[in-house]
Amino acid sequence: MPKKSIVFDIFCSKNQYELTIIDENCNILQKTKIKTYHSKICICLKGGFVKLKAKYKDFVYFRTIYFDSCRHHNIFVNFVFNSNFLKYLDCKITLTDKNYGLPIKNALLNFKQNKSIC
Amino acid sequence: MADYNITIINGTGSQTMSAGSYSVSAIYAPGYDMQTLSPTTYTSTSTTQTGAFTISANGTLTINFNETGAEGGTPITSGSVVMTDSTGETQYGSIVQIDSNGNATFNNVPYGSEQSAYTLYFKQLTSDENHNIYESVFAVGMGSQTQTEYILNTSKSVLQNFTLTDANHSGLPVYNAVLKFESTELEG
Repeated sequence: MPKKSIVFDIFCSKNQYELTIIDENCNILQKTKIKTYHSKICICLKGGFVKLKAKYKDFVYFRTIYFDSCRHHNIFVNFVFNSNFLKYLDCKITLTDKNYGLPIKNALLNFKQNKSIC
Repeated sequence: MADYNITIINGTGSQTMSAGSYSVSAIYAPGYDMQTLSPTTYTSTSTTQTGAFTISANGTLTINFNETGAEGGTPITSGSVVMTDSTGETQYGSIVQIDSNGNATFNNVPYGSEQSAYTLYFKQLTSDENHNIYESVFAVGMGSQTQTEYILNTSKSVLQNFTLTDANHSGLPVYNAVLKFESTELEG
């Protein structure tokens, strides 16, 4: 499918978003700050999907957009700052003895990220 | 990509993490085999979640219950014991049976060193019919991979009643006498 320019019409409730457009392989295609209520972003893409990552202060919001470049010219995206925004996630970890269920007194675990959700 | 070190104290820890999948490894866990951490992956996807991990140790503790609480004492012949917390209120793992030699074996227990032992707590639940259990929760400092500890179980005292009557005048009670009972069991 030939590449084509896709125009994203971004509508934001606040004008301080940092927007990242990511392809399905988590490659960043474009990164920009939304300075106004409405922004247009034009980007060359073939058909498929992209992920939009909108960041507002400590909150991060992900959205996947599917499109067919033969039919789509403009894609409208509306970001509204509400409880659907994902924070960096609070994770509680428990570590117990496999044989006795005894809570481990003292340990240090390393978590190394393999792949982000972009 | 993000990289987090999460400290675990008394079985729990927490961290604010970016969404994604992670490889997990233990980099400090005294008393335990760090290679046995399970699982070794973690995916952070929901707003608040709990990741449950386990880790295993390879020490062996034998507890011998006997009449002296030391090596060589006459052992009890049956009973049960369980690992607990320091108060004895919370039990960990399965109840372990005491065998006919007075031994209860706990496999896969954590251990430290002579200088820094790993403390475990136990509570005896039952003894054999001729002995009293050790009533209190007792602590064992595991300072080596294989270790034996000795716990006292005293013999039970049972009230016995005796009669002494005249052999030639049936039923005539003997007014005043002292009988001596000496044990015929070999010592040690």
